[in-house]
Amino acid sequence: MNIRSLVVVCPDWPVIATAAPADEPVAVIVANRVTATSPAARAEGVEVGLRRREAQRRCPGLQIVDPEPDRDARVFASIAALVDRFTPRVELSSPGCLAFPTLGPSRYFGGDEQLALLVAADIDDALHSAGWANAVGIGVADGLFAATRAAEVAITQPHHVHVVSSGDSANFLAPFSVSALARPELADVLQRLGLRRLGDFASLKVDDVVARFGIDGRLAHRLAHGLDDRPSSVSMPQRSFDVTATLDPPAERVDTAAFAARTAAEELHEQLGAEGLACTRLRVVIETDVGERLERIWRHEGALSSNGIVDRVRWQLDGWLNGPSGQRPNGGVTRLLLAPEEVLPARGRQHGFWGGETEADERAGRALARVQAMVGVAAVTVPERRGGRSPADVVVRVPFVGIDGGDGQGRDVALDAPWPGRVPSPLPALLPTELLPIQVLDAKGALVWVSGRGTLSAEPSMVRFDDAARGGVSIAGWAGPWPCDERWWDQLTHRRRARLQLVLVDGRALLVQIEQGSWSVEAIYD
Amino acid sequence: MFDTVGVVLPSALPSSVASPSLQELAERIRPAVLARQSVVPVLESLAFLFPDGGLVRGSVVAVGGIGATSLALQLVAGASRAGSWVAVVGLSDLAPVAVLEAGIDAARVVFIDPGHSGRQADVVAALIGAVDVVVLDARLPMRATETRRLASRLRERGSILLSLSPEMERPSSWSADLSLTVAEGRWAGPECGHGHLQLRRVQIEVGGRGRANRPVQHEVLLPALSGHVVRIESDTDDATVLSFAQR
Repeated sequence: MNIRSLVVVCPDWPVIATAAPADEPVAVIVANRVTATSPAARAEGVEVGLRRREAQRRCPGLQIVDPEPDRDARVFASIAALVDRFTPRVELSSPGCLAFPTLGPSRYFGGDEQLALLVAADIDDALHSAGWANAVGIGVADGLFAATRAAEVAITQPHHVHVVSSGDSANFLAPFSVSALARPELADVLQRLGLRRLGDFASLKVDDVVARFGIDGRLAHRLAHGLDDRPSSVSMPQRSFDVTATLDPPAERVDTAAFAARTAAEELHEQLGAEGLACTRLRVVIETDVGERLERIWRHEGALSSNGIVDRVRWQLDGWLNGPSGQRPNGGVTRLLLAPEEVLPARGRQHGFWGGETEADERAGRALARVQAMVGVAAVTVPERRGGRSPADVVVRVPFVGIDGGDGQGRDVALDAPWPGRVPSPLPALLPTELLPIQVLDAKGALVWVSGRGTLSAEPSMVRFDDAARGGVSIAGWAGPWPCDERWWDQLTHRRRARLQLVLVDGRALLVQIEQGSWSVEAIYD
Repeated sequence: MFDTVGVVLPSALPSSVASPSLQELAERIRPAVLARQSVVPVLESLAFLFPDGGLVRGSVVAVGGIGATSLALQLVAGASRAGSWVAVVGLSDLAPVAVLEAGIDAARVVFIDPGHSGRQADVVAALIGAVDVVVLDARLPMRATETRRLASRLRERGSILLSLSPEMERPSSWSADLSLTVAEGRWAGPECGHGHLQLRRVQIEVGGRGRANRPVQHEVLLPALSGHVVRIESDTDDATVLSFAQR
């Protein structure tokens, strides 16, 4: 069922959030490609998708800023707070874009047009005081896709409002180019078939579209009809997956609260993963000890990873706790609730995982999908920063399906925490996949061991690898022992060990560990 | 349209000509943009290893020896920073933390472990053209017919294959356009208990075909204190190495 929605878009948001003056040429560059520009930069011919060099050639005075999703989201929270006056159901998909269903608010405020004008006036005022004019567009239509197109059209219109009357979405969309579907391959084929407008594409029969373009083509066809592209596999969760984190004492700071969110996010992810589901829409509720409450709905095109969830909780917290003084809560955060609102089978849709930022990303994404078909989903992994002491814990490999491209960007308490006892940089390049038992011997040929107080029984002078039965390799230098007592509060995962760095005479360097009296190679500095 | 890889600067000039100024001029008039389209950039501190100033598209680069993994990661870091995708095939023992520590962008790197599926050649073939740099584990068995087929596909599609043999003396079965062999590593840092590994001095032998056919040896710090690669003069003693290391 199509829900009539109001969409606010602010395409220049990554630039606005930098607090750069509106009349200076500024561009945000991700992976050597321009992803957002200021109006002044556009006037000089800097377009989204250009290479850095080309952008600088067209506009030598161009200021280049790095993307910072955290900041974008934090500043955008103040815009979202303006909309709170109209509806409690604000849904954010990315910084610079929010939506809400108009059903209730529209009746209260006297119709879609009136509602949109009120919202537009509020947001426009806020942006105007920051020096940005004509930076926002508000569209109302049946379905998010049509409403978003309407909002984009509205940016250049007098009151920044465009309302498509009920039932008219398909007609409104008909003159748009097929490239608006954000499916470059499909758009390319359609254009070569002579179907240049969404209306042409929509006039095809559904059966023909499915036969030729498959499921994704069917979704695109629904969009062209002005229907929402929710794949049929998306559903309300069958049972409640809600995860609550209670904070005692109440957290006053964002990072303390975000730390609790990480545990909750991982729990949620595990629960969903156990049933083969991924979350596409998540409700995050934050409550304080004096009864204040902030609720937001986050939507993601692909599926939210646990890091993606933590990012969003942190954005929400950051925008609230560090926001304008009038909107700030008076108490500390006592409760976080993560409630998935929509889930889909974890291997369902792969569109938009990579943010679709550049053509190269999409090409790589397609090739990786093919590779997954060859060697299995679990064999294709990407790195994800965690936190920890041993080199294997700091960054782990996670399957690439269901990961949103945004992670790795956001910082997290666990990453910046000191982690006493961690291995110093430079970190080893190889981690043996199997346990490599060795013997560390002293000058007399006796096994070296580490006492309970963390001292060595003797200076190590030779390493004997198990595969070389006799003899061994002499040690040229060593450092340590570094005792490490991890998770002593948990009997199951408790580990107590001591590490040594060894430099061998043949030029190799190893990180070795002794655990329960036996030595093994933990990592190799190759 | 214009192939500028073959642009050779006049190196042998009559001694009467003031050669520094001519070289400067040659630098200035070189068609930088076009040449760079066929070369994927490496970090500036590593450019000296490459006769063409970077990783040439369509080429096979073999990296071997003790320290090869660190070197390979550093080589790829420049490409990753410039927006290229990096795919690592095999190397299930590669530490993801070292990958990020080398400066490779976490959002544009992917690890593929073909395991015992025996489909490594198909995987590499699918990746060529879609990602700019493929780092391939030289320990994965590959037939000569397959390597030849992949090499021609590389030339056609303009990706770069980096064949990595960690901890091994000689690189793999690929006939590499450029081969880098790391040798004679000497670590500094740990001193009988205190301190920790900080820097390593290694020798890198650069050989290969075409403009790289005469083997050259370089001494570098891999890593220096900054975590990156720093070139040092070959006759520098260990004491003065520290001053290089801090750069």
